[in-house]
Amino acid sequence: MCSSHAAHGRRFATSELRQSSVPRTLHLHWPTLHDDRAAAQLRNATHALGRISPLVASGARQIEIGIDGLRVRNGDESAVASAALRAVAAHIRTAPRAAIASSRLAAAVAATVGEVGTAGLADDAACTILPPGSEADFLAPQRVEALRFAATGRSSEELAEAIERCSLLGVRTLGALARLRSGELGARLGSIAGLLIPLARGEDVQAIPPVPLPRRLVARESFDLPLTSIEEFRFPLRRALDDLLARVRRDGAAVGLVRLHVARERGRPLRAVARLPLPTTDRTQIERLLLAALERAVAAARAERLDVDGLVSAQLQFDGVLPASGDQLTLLGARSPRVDRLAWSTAAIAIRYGADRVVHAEIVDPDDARPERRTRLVRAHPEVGE
Amino acid sequence: MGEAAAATEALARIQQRWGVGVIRRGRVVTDPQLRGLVVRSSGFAALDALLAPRGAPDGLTLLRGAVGSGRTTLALRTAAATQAAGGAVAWIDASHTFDGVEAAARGVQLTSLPIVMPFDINEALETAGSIIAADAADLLILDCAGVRASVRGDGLERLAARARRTGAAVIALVDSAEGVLSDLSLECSTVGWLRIGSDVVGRKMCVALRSGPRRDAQVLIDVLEPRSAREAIRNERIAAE
Amino acid sequence: MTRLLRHPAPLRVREDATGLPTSIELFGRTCEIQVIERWRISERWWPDPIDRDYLRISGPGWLALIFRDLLDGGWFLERVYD
Repeated sequence: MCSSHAAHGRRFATSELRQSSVPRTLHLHWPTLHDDRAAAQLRNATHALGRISPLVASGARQIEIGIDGLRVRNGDESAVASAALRAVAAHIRTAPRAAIASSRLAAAVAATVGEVGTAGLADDAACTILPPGSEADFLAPQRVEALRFAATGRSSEELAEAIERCSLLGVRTLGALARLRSGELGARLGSIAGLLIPLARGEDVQAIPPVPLPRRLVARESFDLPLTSIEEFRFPLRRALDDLLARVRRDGAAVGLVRLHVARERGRPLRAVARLPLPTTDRTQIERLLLAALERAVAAARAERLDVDGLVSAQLQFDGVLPASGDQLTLLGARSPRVDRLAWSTAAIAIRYGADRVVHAEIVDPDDARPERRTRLVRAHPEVGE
Repeated sequence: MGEAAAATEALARIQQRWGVGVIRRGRVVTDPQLRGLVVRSSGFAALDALLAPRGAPDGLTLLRGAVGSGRTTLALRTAAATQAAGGAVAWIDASHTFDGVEAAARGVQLTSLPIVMPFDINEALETAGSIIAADAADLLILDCAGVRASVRGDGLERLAARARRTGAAVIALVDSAEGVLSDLSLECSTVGWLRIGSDVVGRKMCVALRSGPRRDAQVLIDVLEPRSAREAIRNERIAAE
Repeated sequence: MTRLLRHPAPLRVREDATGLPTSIELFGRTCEIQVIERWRISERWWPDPIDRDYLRISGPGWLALIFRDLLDGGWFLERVYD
């Protein structure tokens, strides 16, 4: 039994209030994605969405992402959907059908079944958003065959067989399935019944798994002939960066901290660290920061009158490989792409000229009698100068 | 019942139970303005009308005027408006006189404004150049007002060329820039005070657009000076709401 | 926006009989000024006490904030409104 609460003119069932804390899933479905390039396109689109959320799962012609924890301006899930659609549009030209719900199955069905004829929905770019708690009602009239969209962790053959058995038993809709007790059905279907009934009720039985990420990636290279300048060193550095970044991108991740260790024929090794203002996989930006840090290490070594020629080997280490969600605000609302590049650019200035060169003004007490106490200047890049 | 029909019926039942409009159709908003179309308003409608449609042009705008003429307020208002439009703004404070309280009072988001404090004019131009070359700013304010050393004209012109290539605007506050070719030159002067009784509450500024020795156009704008910093911040917030 | 001096700059000031400034030396020139507003800030009980008479003044085409330091008697420029 559900009690009802009136709130803002809408009646909420208690189960709906509980549902509002259930994770929300955005499901994207491309019904016509069939050709040879589809797999590659889906893979690239999945990686792009990996920058929005660490919870991404893809299948044939579909991608799901967990959208909780994203910063949604004004609580508007439409904006989240818009951001996700912009992210995938660069990789798959056809617009997908999209739906958001508190159950992966409900979102999949809503996206897959598509246009439902309500005014205003005749638009490939629309997204159906089911209110939390409405999943059971939405799924009830669906045929049991809709379970083929469900994520159960079981094989597709096992699922198909279970669906067929339900049908043979006269359980033809998800609503009918939802009313059964698992003991009853379990005797006929086996343990899978314990998954199918909650699914029919609009509950997830398997959450979207976070992409497993390695914490540290290392690339090492020894040089046949000692390198005599940082300019020469750019090429092996670029190779190593490309190698590690490809692995990071494949996991839908980004890197937050890069360490470089360069051994020399004579003298102490050179070390450079770049803490990245934002997790990224942009090789050009990482290379620029690392080389600036390396130049400072070289300048310091020269000041100690150490011979800096003869670089014999290098080790590049990605520490802090992170889910690439980063600052999700980047993708929501109008914001110049230069905003992120500015952080990089000022970090490079701080490395090159000194960490005290780039600051933010903070207001302390605007009415303090002494002007020097009203504001303070804080370093914009405290990570520089480790 | 076909799948589509079943879904139609299900959605209709949900609407019946929870009210019409509970199923939301999110419409995708494609934003064509994400690249290269940040509007750099001056914050003053009369001046914006002369600089339409994008406000401060790509390249170099020279902001001239005597100290106290109000040109820094103009630079700050442009920075605030560009930030509000989603643009990336940087401030090169060669004069080391940046006032955070009044910047906030003029609407600048301090947390989003990196301030570069260069050692000298050369470093000011170098750091400005590196930001523009990295295509990292929609608007860069180069504040050299009151700096004793004069800014090299060729340095400014190289910066201007880079800014035009990347679609950025550089607004330079310089005391002396004779012979420097710019994309726009604005000359500020205070032509009167706004008073309530004997109290000066603001100024009437004349902003003249110049190309060469000719004065092409000019506007008069009213700029209010807040009585206290807290009042300034409060007033700006009210105005913004 | 004001030009806020990190450290207030000493000023040369000519005063009238009542001690109010009538002209100051600014931007290399002596300028006649008008006092628009004045107030006192006194924080004598702090370990770092201050006791200042603040004046908002206008000159030819500019507004500024100056103060007289009552602890040591000097005049200082705090900011120019720009």
